[in-house]
Amino acid sequence: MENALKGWIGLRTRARGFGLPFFASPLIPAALLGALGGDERIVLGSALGFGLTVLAARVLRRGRRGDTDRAAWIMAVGTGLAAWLAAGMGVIFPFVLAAGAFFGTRMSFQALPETAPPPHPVPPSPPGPLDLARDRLARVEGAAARLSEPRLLGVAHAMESVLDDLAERPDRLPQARRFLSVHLDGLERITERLEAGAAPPERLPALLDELSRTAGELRERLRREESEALEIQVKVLSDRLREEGYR
Amino acid sequence: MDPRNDRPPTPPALYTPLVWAGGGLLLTLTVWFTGIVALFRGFGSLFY
Repeated sequence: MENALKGWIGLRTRARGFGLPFFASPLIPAALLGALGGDERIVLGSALGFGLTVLAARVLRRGRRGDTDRAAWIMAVGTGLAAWLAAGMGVIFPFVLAAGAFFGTRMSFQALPETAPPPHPVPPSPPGPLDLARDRLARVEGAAARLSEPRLLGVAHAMESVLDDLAERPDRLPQARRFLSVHLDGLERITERLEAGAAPPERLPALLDELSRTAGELRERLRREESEALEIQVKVLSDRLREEGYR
Repeated sequence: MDPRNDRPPTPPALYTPLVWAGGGLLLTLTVWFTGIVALFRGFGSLFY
């Protein structure tokens, strides 16, 4: 008996909501006849009543938690409006019919399973300083390509190498933050001026060379510090092994 | 939370189909009835 009921629930769950528009189907010919007879209230009430019933059916088909209640409220509003406007039942009686539609919908779809609502989408994390710097460098590279400035492109590539190193060792980022802000800002400003049509001053090539060189130096320094950290680590471990009597 | 300690979901009551039938009856008496009255009014609007 219980299995038969479960099977029945499964069937009703699959067909859930399809039956609702049939209950409101007389509203379609009512709207047509109302339109032919020139009664706008009948047309409006019928359209609202049937439309909201279809909407309730759609909500029911979704089958999420709380959807039966939502559909019941939509059915109540649709039936009340249809009773008030299309059926011309005054003011009080539509409320009675709306209450009937509400409880009727709730009862008709009782015990049907509802799924949990989907989790809220996690907002994408804001881009980190490295991503922002990469975007800015990409813009500089684009401008350098347009301006046919190989030196500018060279500086951008050199700075990109620094970013690659930093991506592998993000703990070193605070040491390079000043480099990123000063050099990248400077490079961006120079690019903007050149794009605006400024004539490159004589000192510009030297400055760009200097920027490339300092980028290389920073990479070198980062690598050296990494090597020093490793050396310290090796020394500490060796001492420890000696103290423990393993060596 | 160990799912083995969760209580199994309570099975639906055996009188559930009666509730469905009652709901269907209520919907017929309200939504269908409203539609039929609107249909008659629409028909009447052709003549008045």
